[in-house]
Amino acid sequence: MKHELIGKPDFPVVKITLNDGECIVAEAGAMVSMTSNIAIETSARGGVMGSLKRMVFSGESFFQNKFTANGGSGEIIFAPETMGDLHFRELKNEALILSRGAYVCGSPDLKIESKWGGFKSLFGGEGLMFQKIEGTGSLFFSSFGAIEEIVINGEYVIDNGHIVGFEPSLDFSIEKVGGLKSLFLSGEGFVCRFKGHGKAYIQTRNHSSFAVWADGWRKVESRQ
Amino acid sequence: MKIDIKYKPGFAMACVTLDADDKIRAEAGTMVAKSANVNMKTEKASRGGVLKSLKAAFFGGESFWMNIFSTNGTKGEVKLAPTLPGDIILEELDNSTIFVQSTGFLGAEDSIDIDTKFQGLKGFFSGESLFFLKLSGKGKVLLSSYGGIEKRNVSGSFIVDTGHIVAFDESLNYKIEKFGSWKSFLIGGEGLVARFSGHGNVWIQSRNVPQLGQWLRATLPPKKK
Repeated sequence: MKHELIGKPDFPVVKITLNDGECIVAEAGAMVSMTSNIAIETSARGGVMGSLKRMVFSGESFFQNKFTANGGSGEIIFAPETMGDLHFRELKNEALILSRGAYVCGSPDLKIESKWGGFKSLFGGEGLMFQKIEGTGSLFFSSFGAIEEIVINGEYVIDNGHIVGFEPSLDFSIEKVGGLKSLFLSGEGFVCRFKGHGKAYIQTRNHSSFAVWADGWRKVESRQ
Repeated sequence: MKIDIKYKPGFAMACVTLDADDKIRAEAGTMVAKSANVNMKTEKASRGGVLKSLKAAFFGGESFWMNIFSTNGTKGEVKLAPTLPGDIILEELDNSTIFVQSTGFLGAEDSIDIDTKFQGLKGFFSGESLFFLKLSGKGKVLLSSYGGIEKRNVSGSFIVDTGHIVAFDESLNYKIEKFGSWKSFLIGGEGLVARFSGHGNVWIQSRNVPQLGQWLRATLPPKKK
């Protein structure tokens, strides 16, 4: 399998070349175009419960598509939902935690498990239902805006809406930033305080803030 | 204070390095991340009492409160980004004054005084929330744009669509007027424009915030009250 990221950083897609018999798994709706020798198999990967969990907790689709090249090599292009970057990472028998909706596509060998971010994340609201991607293989994930890799050594604070993912070696706690006044007036809501050593990925725009802004423009109709 | 702007021009983010005594004031909700030794305090937008802040909230369009970031004596960093896709530009004010359209303000060094200038009836006519924050003093200012940003030096007279103005120097005079004849105004789709005159800079954004809003308004289903 070969890949090429095209159109970085604002509106990238990933072009994947599959050898005969090779396959790749992607979120429903991520396929842009493909050669006609690629077969699609749609399934609820991980069973009905696993898929439900993935859908409810991680904002991913219930069904995922598996694309397999038949009778020669094939080429397929995937795009994320949001405006912004697409990041590649080769996992080597390791895990990465991604926030809601960040997973785009990856090797079929990678295990995707939805994780409830814990009771505390109920207060976090934004994307704190994580999914854990684990195993060995290629992984592509997306961000709203640009993506930045941060190597944390010690402590670091990230706004909940700006987290794309992080390594499980990092510990995190959800907290408010600033004093009590800040909780209501700062517009920052909740943040994640990471501790330990590992990488985190942040995005330069925030889905929730953008959605709230867009919502403010909606017409208001009185209920009859 | 050192400011690095990364990921220009589509989804820019300002990375601010704070030294021991540095403080930066940022628009509410713009913090992306910060090092653990940076503290955030929420304060009223304008110094000078509640009345001034109320004025900022109602007329400035920006949040009533702003966040002030400082370090606990060691070097720290805070990353800031606006809500909309687009660019960020860093300007150094040298005992000068600029007017910044409400959505174009991202942050400013603590030494910069933030005030509002009520636009009066001129502003109301535009329907495009033509409210400006008045930034003056000596220090760094971060402007954000929806789309790209262009700084244009005006000498004489120059016309900018009101939705495309990010900021302008105090040295410029401006007048809000309809675009062309009444016919162009009503069916030409340009609405109101600002006619600048004199000498100074105007910062222009390549997309129009109210137009995006109107597009969303037409696209999204109505809310039920």
